This record gives sequence, structure tokens and C-alpha cells, in this order.
Amino acid sequence: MSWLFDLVPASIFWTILLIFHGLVSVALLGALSHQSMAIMRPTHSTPKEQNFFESFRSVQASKYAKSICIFWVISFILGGWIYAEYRINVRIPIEQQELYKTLGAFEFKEHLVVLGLAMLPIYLFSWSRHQNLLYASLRKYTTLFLTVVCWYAFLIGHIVNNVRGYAS
Amino acid sequence: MTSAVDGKEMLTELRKRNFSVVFSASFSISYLLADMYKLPVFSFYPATSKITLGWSASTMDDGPAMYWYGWLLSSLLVALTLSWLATLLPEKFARKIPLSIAWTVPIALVPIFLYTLKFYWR
Repeated sequence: MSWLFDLVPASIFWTILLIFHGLVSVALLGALSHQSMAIMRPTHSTPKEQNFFESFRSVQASKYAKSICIFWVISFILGGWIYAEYRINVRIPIEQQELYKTLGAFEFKEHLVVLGLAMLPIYLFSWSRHQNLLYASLRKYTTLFLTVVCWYAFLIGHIVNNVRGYAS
Repeated sequence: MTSAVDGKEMLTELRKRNFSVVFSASFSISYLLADMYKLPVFSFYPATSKITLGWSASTMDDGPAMYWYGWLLSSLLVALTLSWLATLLPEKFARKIPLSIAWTVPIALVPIFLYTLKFYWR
């Protein structure tokens, strides 16, 4: 990493990486939210009759599955990369402030995103057979789980960032 | 001829299904066990970028140790092995693997993970 930090100062590098991680997570959050709403309350009205909420969930949910898996993996890799920096420069100061619940919530997020990662193959399997009713509940529950985990991870990541702040 | 091809396709489909189902459940369980019983493949010291095999404690020289990467590798190895074994099961047994364990197992583990972090909830 030292060769990289000769080109870009370390604090700027980690800030760029964190922003990129955040942007990928926003894309993931949007895709999962659309897909969850579409699977929970499918809409049958024509586009002209739809209000905001109906058009939000009137997406072709199966089209999102591959992108969601790719976004999850990219976000996971970026998060895993930042995690080492977090352990030294973010976690220790938060420990010194005795903000244990904040740390616990963050550690819990790390566990949840791993459970989400483990679920990706079966999630993709079920969505690639989206016309098969046999996999309907599998599609529903894996999608809902990934959505809840993604929202939790996003919010907790944001809270920890607010506690410590990037590049601080 | 067609039925033989159909049968082969169905078996391939069943194997893909079982691989994914077993992967999800076994990855989640082995990750929890790796965490609870200190079973990372390696420990990583981010302050010095040092890597040691297995579980090793934080030290004054190398700083805090991280196990998350090691737990991931432990559970990935276990999950890939078990998922591959699941694809080798005879059709009679392969059909008995319930689809629902793919999502019920990870969800059931969530409260256990919360409990393992009890140190922080004070």
C-alpha cells in the first residue's frame, strides 16, 4: 500500500474508497427496495393510473437480481478493505469514548452482511427461475432478508461515520 | 431419448439447487462456529499487515488482531466442501434437502449473533 500512498495521501485515499463504498451501497439499497416492494405488493395498474408508490413497485423485479448480487459483492469487498483501516483509526477512538453500543451495532452489521453474502447463490438461483412458483417463497424471503440487512448496514455505517467522520 | 435428456436436465437443476441451499445454510453455521470457537484460518494485524495462521491474540508489537477475514475463509472452505458433497448425493436423498433451510437457518442465527456480541450491549 505504501506505493499507493506515495501517489495519493492516505486520508484522501480512504475517503475516496469510503465514498465509493457508500455510492455502491446506495445503488444496492435502491435496487433491493424496488425489488422487495415489487414482490410484496405487485401492481397490475397501467402506468397512466399509477401514483408514486405504485410506480415504485411496478418494476420487473427479476431484472434486478444479477445487479444486486454484483453490487453486494463489490460493496462487500470495499467494506472489507475499509474494515482494516476502521479497526485501527476508527474503532480505537470510539472504544476510548466508551461508545460500546455503536461498536456492537457495527460488529453486528459485519455478521449480517456475511449472512447476506452466504444467501446470494440461492437468491440468484430463485430469481433466475422467476416464473417457477415452487421458488416463490424462497424468492420472497431471501429478497426481504437482503433488503433488511442492506438498510441496517447502510444506516449503521452512516451512524459510525457520523460518530468518527471520515478522514478525521 | 427426450425423457433421458429431460431427466439429466432435472438432475443438473437439482444439483444446482442443492449446492445453493447447502451453501447458504453451511456458510452461515460455519461462520458462527468459527466466531464462537475462535476458528479463523488466519489472524490479521492491520497495524503491521502481519498474518499468522489460526487464531492469535493481539500483541503490543503488532497491535489489535482481526479475525473476520479468517472466519470468512474458514466458512467459505467448509461451505464449498459441503455444497460440493451435496451435489454428489444420490437423487433419492438429494430430493430430501429442504429448500427452506436456505433462508430459515441464516435468519435463525441472527439472535445468536446478537448474543455473541453481548459484551457491547452494556
